[in-house]
Amino acid sequence: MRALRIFAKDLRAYYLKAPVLSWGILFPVTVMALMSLNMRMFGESRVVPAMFSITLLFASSSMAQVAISFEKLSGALARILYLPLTGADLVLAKSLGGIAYGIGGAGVAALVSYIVAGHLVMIRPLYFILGVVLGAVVYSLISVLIAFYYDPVHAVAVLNIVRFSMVFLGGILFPKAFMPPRLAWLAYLFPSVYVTEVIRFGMYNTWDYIDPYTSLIVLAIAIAALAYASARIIIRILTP
Amino acid sequence: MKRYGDTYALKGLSFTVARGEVYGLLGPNGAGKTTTLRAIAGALRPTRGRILVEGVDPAREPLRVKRLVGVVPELPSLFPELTVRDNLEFIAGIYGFSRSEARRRARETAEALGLGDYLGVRYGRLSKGLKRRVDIAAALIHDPPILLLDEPTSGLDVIAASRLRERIAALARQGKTVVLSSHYIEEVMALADRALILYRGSKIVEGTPAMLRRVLSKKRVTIYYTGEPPQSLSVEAREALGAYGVEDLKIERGALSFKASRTVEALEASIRLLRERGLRVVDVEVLPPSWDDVFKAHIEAAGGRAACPCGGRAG
Repeated sequence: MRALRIFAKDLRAYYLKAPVLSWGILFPVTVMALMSLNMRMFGESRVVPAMFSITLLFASSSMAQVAISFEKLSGALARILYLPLTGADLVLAKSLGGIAYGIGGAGVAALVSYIVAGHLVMIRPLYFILGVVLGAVVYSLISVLIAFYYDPVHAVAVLNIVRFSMVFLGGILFPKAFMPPRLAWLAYLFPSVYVTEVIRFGMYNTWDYIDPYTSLIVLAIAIAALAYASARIIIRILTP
Repeated sequence: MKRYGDTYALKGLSFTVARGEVYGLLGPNGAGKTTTLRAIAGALRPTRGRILVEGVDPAREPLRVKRLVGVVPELPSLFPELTVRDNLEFIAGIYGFSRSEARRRARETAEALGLGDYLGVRYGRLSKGLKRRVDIAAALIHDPPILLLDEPTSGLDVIAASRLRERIAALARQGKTVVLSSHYIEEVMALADRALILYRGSKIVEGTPAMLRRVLSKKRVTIYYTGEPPQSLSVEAREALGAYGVEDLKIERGALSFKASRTVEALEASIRLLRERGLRVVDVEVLPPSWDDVFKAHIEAAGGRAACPCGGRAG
C-alpha cells in the first residue's frame, strides 16, 4: 500500500519527464523501426522478440533511474528516510513505475510489430506474458539498484553500459550462431538472454541460447536475488 | 558513538530529554548535531551505544520510532514538482492514513501553520520561509509527540526566522517535545528549556540557558579610534578594565580589543579611558565568542579537566 502511494506520487512527479519519454519510448520505437529493416537478415523469430526485449529493457529501466536521481538531487530521498518505510517498500515502490512502463511499452511494441509485419505470432501467450512481466521486473530492479548505488551522473553512465551490453552481448540482438564462440558465454551472465528466450518461445515456440523452462527458473532466482540485494543495499546506503 | 572509519562523528554523547521539553543542540557546523538528530530518528545506526525514544530503540525498531517523531531536515526536501497539498497528503498516506483522512490532515495542518492559501502551489515555487513551514507541516502531519528540527531557521531572513521561532514556541506550548539543533546561540537560548553544546562530536556542557550563557558570555570587543595613543595606554587599560573580567587585551594602532564577560561595563570604561587620553572613538564591534573560545572557556571552567575532543579522530 505504501509502495503504491510512492508509485502514484512518482507518476505525477517524474514519469512524464523528457529523459523518461526519450529513453523509455522514443528510443525503443527508433530501435524497433531500425530492426524491422533487418527482418530479412535475421528472420522474424529473431527480430520481433528482440524488439520486445529491447523495448522492455529501455522502458523498464528508465523510470527508477529518473525518479531516484531527481530525488537524490532535490534532497527528497533524504526526507523519505525519516518516513516509516522499509527497504522492501522502497524497492517495490521504485520498481513499480518501471514495471508498469515496461509492460505498457510491450503493448506499444506489439502494435508496432503488427503494423510492420502485418501479423503478430503468439503460439504460447502465457509464456509471452511471463517473459514480458518477468523482464519488466528484472530490468526495473537492475535500474533501482544502479540508481540507488551510484550518484545521479554515474548512474546514467553505468545504466547505459549495462543496457547496451545486454543488447549486443546479452542474447537480444545476435543469435548464438552469430556470436564469436569466445564471447557467446557472456550472454548467460545477463538476464536479457533469459527474458528474450521466454518471449521468443511464447511467440514462435522456439528458443536459441537456452530453453524457456530453465530461463524462467533463472529469472525467478535473479528477481529474488536482485530484490533482496536492493533492499539490503538501500538500507545500508540510506541508513549508514 | 558514531564512527566513520577512524573519524568520530559522535563520541561519548549522552543526554536525556524530558517529555514536553524544548531541548537545544548547539554547536558549530560539523559538531555532530545533524548526526545526533538522525540517530534519534532511526535514520542512522550508532556504531556503539544506545538511544531510547519513548522506550524504543531506533536502531532495533526504526519504524516504530519514525511514527513517534516528526523530522524537519536542515534543507528543504519535499517534492518540488508536487503541490503543497499533494506533498502533505503523500506524507500522510505513508503514515497509513486513508485518502480522506490524509486530505483532512493536510488541510488542517497547513491551515494551522498559515499555509491554507498555498495548498495548490508547487513546493518548488515557494519561498524559503514558506518551504520551511511546509516542512514543519509535513513533520506534524501524523501528530507525533516528538519533533526534531535541524537548523530550523537556517537561510531565512530575520522576519521569517522570528515568525518561525514563534511557531516552534507555540508547538512547545501544545505539549510537543522539541529537540532542535542550531548554530545560532540566541535561537537556542530563546527557545530551549535546556541545551547541550556539541563540539567535534563530543558534549562540552549541558544546562539551562542561564548556565550556558555564562559559558558563552565572553564576547570579543574591539574599539576603533583615531589619534596617537600614549606609551602608557596598555598599562592604564589593564588597570582600568581589570575589574570587568577582561582577557586577551590587545592594543594595536587604531584598535583596542579584549574579551570580556561584563561587556557593557568594560566597553564604557575603555571608551572613557580612550577619550581621557585624547583619542577619538570612531567605531565599536562586539562579536559573540567563537566556538573555540567556548570550548576553551569550558576547559578553564572545569579546571582543565574536561575531555578534549581531539579533532574527532579515533586514536
